[in-house]
Amino acid sequence: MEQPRSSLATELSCRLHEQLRRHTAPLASAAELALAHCSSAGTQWLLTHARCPCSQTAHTTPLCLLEPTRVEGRVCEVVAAPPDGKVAGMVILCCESSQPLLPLALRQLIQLGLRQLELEQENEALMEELGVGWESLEAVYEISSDLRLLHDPMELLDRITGKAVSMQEGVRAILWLEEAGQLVPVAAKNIAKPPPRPPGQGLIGKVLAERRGILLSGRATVAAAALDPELARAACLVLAPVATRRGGLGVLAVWREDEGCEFDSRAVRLVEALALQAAMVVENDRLYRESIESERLRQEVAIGSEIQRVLLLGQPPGDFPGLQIAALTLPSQRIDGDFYEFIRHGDQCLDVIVGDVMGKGIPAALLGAATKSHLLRAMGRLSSAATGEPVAEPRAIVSAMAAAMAKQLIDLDSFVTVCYARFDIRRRRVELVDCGHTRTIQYRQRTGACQLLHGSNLPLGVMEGERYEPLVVPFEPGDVFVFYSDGITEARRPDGEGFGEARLADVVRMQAHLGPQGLIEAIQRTVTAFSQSEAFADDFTCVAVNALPLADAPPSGRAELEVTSDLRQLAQVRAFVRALLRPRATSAAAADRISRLELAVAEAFTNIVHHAYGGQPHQPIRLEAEVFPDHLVLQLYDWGRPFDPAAAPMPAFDGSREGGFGVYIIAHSVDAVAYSRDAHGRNRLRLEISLRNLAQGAK
Amino acid sequence: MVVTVAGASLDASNAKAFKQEVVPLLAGPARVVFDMSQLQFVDSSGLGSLLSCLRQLHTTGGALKLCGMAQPVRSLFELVRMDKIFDIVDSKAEAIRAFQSQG
Repeated sequence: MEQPRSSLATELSCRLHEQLRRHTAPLASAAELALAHCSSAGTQWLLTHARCPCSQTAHTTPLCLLEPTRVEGRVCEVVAAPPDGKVAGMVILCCESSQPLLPLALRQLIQLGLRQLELEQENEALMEELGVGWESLEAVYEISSDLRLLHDPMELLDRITGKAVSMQEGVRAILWLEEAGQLVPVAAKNIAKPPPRPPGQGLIGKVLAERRGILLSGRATVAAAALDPELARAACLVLAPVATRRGGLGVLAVWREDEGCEFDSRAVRLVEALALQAAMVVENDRLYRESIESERLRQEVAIGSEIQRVLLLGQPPGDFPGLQIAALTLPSQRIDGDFYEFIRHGDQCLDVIVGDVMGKGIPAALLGAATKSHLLRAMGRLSSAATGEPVAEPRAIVSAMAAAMAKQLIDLDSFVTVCYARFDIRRRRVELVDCGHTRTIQYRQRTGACQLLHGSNLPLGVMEGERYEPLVVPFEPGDVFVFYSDGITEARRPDGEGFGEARLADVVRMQAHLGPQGLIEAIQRTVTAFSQSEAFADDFTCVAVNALPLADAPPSGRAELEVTSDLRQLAQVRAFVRALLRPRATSAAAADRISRLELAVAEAFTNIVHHAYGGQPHQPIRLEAEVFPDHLVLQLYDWGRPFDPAAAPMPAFDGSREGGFGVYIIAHSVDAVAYSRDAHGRNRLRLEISLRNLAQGAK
Repeated sequence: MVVTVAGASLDASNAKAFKQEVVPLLAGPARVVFDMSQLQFVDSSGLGSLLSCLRQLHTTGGALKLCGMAQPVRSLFELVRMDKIFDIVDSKAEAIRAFQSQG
């Protein structure tokens, strides 16, 4: 008999064995149980204490003795589960008599137990892939990573509630969950558990119904709002919904009773993060129960994709002014840890965070959830106590999150790629902290081209003490950003060719006009057609963000200049540009950048004289400038021949040609260039320069 | 020969004139220094005229060094990678010394 392959498997098989023994007590004298684990290497016997003659037989896969069989004078029956899938394990029952061995119900019980075993063995295999045990995963996902503890969700919920009260002195907390039409206090700290009550009452009921948290300060305010008896003496309170996208599950209520106390935003974030974890525990428990109770569910995929759908994937806001967002995930056969989240800061900023955990299955999904939890905590820690203060910079959030996770991730030999993008709608720029994620695609409507945005940061968990640097990219109305998982770019054609970035960027370029939802659908169609398969090997995750025109923010200053197609007027044109930005030339770097804009305008003017007007004098050229709080738009108009700078060839950098530098200089001296020709035969060249970058020098 | 480029700018408005005046002076294998310290602005046309001078000197076996470049001018040269094509030194004295040491 071979040794069991691991202590966990032994533990599981013992547990199953005990369960079976209990249920087979009437048959105990007649039956012996053996539990086998099948793997590609053959059959391994896991039970050391089962005495079964079959265990002496060397079975090799496939072993599907589904009919009672006689072996050495005993009747052996094999119950394997699931009969249609691969056999991860089986129970062999042997007895001396020729009586039917098991009633039907018992056989079903065994099948359930085997599926549970199969699931856990699968997880164990996945953990081995990660090169870790459950212990170290628990270190990352401090509370609920441990699937073994899922058998006792109450203990987890109790620990979560305990975390809430340990944040400050004098905090009381109750975790309410809705069970069988009642609100039940499943855990209570520093207060006796009140009796269950019908949902829909008091503040707790309100939070549950609306799935929106409440923060109240001041005894009078609380007393006026809270009819809940246990909250009557609270001087400040935070109520966070324990909810998934599926619906409200309960409420985590945290309060203090001492006079003058207040919860800061950090405390609120912590309570929110704990409520998220509680939701995860409850969801996992529910899914776990479902998985062992339902024939339908294939556990691994189902649990993983449910965790992903419910906890890992945020809901894009539908009403953020200036941005239109869509997101899609198609889970694969084995879940990756893809996740995304949207965090809104008022109407000005929206954070889009996408990530991918190395590995697959439930461990990856849990690690994804852990990352999201760390993200929320990092935001909570960094947000100032004073309300209304700007939230921490993305790089500070990523750094805090990485610092909290790096060591454990390294121990786990796993890593997480993250792209944290903060869209600032008024400044029209996005700040990206890209940590080894797939390169974000930016489609620029003006140029009709896509660029790939790529940060230099390593994924979380590669190195401790890593500094995370942001990439700041301006955007304009009409631009589209596409974040995606490598499941898209690595989708393969039957001949092995990968889909790749270039094809994806092509789809984005061609279909950007469809809007985010339509674009994602187009991507999905294209990838499916390419791989000639509906099923993806890896998760297909895609988030598309469209920048919409903003109606507000009028320019703070305007200026215009009329000149003619005479190169002697170049000095006047240059002086016009310098005058616009003179107050901003506060540093050498800013002065350099301004002189580059001056250069760009000079080149544009010269091009108009030479090319649009072909050197013909006395033709009108008009310059219009608009100064916005954060950027400057300069437009040059002429009535000459069409001249599209995008069609200009690259200059000769070897000095072999004296001309041909102008367009290149313009493109590399400003933040955006656009050429158009209107119905009146007027050429318009629009140059844009960000004034926020002024202090950072020339690009 | 040291040519001091007079005026604050060498751009589309005067590059053609500059080229017409200076290129004829560069006949023969001359070793020439352009002192650009008065120039605050050069555009691609100005750059083109300087390239004409350089090519003229290359055909006659001469050499050209540029010196005294202001930051915006230098920035343009770097942008179009002409800092690799031209021999740029800090000062007139340095340019002359360099020519002398080359014999």
